[in-house]
Parts: sequence; structure tokens; C-alpha cells
Amino acid sequence: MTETIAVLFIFFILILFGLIFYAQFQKSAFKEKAEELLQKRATETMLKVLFLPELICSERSLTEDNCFELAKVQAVVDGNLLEGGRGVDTEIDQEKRDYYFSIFSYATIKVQQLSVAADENDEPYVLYDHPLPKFTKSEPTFFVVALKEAPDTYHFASLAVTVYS
Amino acid sequence: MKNKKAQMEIIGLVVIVILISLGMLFLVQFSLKEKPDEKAFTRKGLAFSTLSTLLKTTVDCGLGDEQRRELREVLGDCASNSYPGQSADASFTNRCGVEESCAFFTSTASGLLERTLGVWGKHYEFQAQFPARFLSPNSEPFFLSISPNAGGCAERERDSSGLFPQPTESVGIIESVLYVCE
Repeated sequence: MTETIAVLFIFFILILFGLIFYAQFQKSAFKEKAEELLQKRATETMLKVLFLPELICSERSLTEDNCFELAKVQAVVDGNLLEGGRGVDTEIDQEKRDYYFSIFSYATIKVQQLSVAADENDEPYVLYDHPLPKFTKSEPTFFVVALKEAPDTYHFASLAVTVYS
Repeated sequence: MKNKKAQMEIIGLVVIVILISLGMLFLVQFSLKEKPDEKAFTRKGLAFSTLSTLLKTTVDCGLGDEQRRELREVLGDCASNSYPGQSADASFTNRCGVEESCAFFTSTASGLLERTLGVWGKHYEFQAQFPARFLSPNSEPFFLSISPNAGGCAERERDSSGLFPQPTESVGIIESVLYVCE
């Protein structure tokens, strides 16, 4: 009888160790999965921005990859387009805000024109700025794009998309 | 009889221990298994977009709009003047403003790559080469190679932009490639 109890005791101790180990493993796996999902969202948001008709270089029906028109970028920034416009908070503004939020969710999108000299640092164009309140993690993703300035003048620029969780 | 029962119990215990050990080994192996590089796609796209943007960036080779050229033109000019056996009286400009084409391209490209890929913690390697059919067996195919001071992509897992062919007047098609690595 005592032996059986001892064997059962050891058996349950081992089961307990196994459960603890599995719980630890699941905890880290869950963390990794959350990071993976955030990275995936960052990449998806980056792709959405790269092909956004409001920004992409286009002529007639042809579009140019990895290229934004400077005039469009300036118009988006000046009109605060992706954030629902400026001025009176009308219903249309709210609709626009909801529309772009459904595309980008909590994110920050910036484009910065770069020159060779590091001291000639242009201010970045902030296209969309919706950080998650009290976010715990942010995932920045970078890309290089051309900023097209008519007529056929291209500037070297960086695109930074940050997503939050 | 009692002795046999004790032996059976020990065997049962051993079986349980073996099963749990196997389970743990399986879990450890599963957790240590290398995951495919999820950033590889982004890195490849980054290499492609960086090189395509770099080559079409407009630079000012002097004062006025007539002096504005795409960097690819400067690179083509550099290739024409770097080709082995190129005569001194060549009709190529070999200039971007007061600077020689190759020097101008190197300083401009290095500056822009360092301000983007360098700042983002990526290593990179830019190479421009002559077409193989133009070269003698012993000659060096690369006429221009740019990598950061911290080191290029040798012995690292790298992603390529793919070859960017570019026609030139004198040496035919030259090819550029950009490698990006972590």
C-alpha cells in the first residue's frame, strides 16, 4: 500500500513538472506568436501604403512601383487627408477617418526626403499618426521609395511605418 | 510474490519516466527548430526598391537644370571610363560637375545607403559589373563596389535586389546589384 502511494506520488510529481514545463513553453510561444503577428501587420501595412492610390506615382493608367508623387504627398499632409481632413469635424471627416483607420488601424506613417549630406535633414512628412494609447510594443518597418517631382525629377526618400500593439 | 510486484511497479515508473523524457525532448526539439526567416521577403523587397530608387535619383551635377542627371547615367559614364583599355581621348564626359563620375557616384550612393540601410542596422553591398563577354579571363568584372565600413554581406545570409541591367553607349550592358543582410 505504501509503495503504491509512493509510486502515485512520484507519478503526479512528474505530471506536475511536465505541466509546469508545458505552461512555460506555451507562454513563450504565445509571446513569439504575438510578435510574429505584429511583424506581419507591419509588413501588410507597409504594402498597403506602397500601393495607396492617394500617393503612388501614376500616369494615365500606369503606376510606378516604389514611387510616391511629391505633390500627392504634400496634398495629403496639407489636407490631413488620411486623418479625416482639417477644420470642422463633419460627418464626412468622420467617415474618412473611419475609412483610413479600417485600412491602417493603429499606426504611424512617415515619408522623409533624403539628401546626401546628413546635415541637410528635411522634416519628415507625417501622413498618418494614430499610435495606440498606452501601447506596449511597436514594430517599425522601413522602405526606400522615390519621390517624384514633376517634371521627371526623382528624390531619394525613406518610408517608415510603425504599428503598435 | 511481493518482490515481483515491487519489480513491476519499478518497471511502470521507468516507463513513465521514459515517456515524460521523450515528451520533453520532443518539446525542446520543437522549440529549438529554426524558423524560416519571415523578414526575408521584406529584405528582398527593400534591396530591390533601394537599388531602383538609387539609380533613378536625380542629382545635380552643377548649376541649372541642364546639369541634372539620373544616378544611372553617372554610373554608365563611370563604366565607360573604367573599361579596361579605354582610350584617354574618349568622348565621354567622365564628370559630374567638378567631380569624376566614379567618385561622384561612390560618394552619393554611399551617403544615401548609409542614411537609410546603415541607420536601420542593415549591412549592404553594391556592385556594378561589366558584361562577362567583354572581359578577358583574368580581368575583374566589378568596376565599382560599395559597402559600409562596418562590413558588407560576405559570409552572411543575404538577399539580392536582382540584376539591374543598363545599356551604355560604349561597353554594352552593365549590371548592378545590391545585397542586403542583417
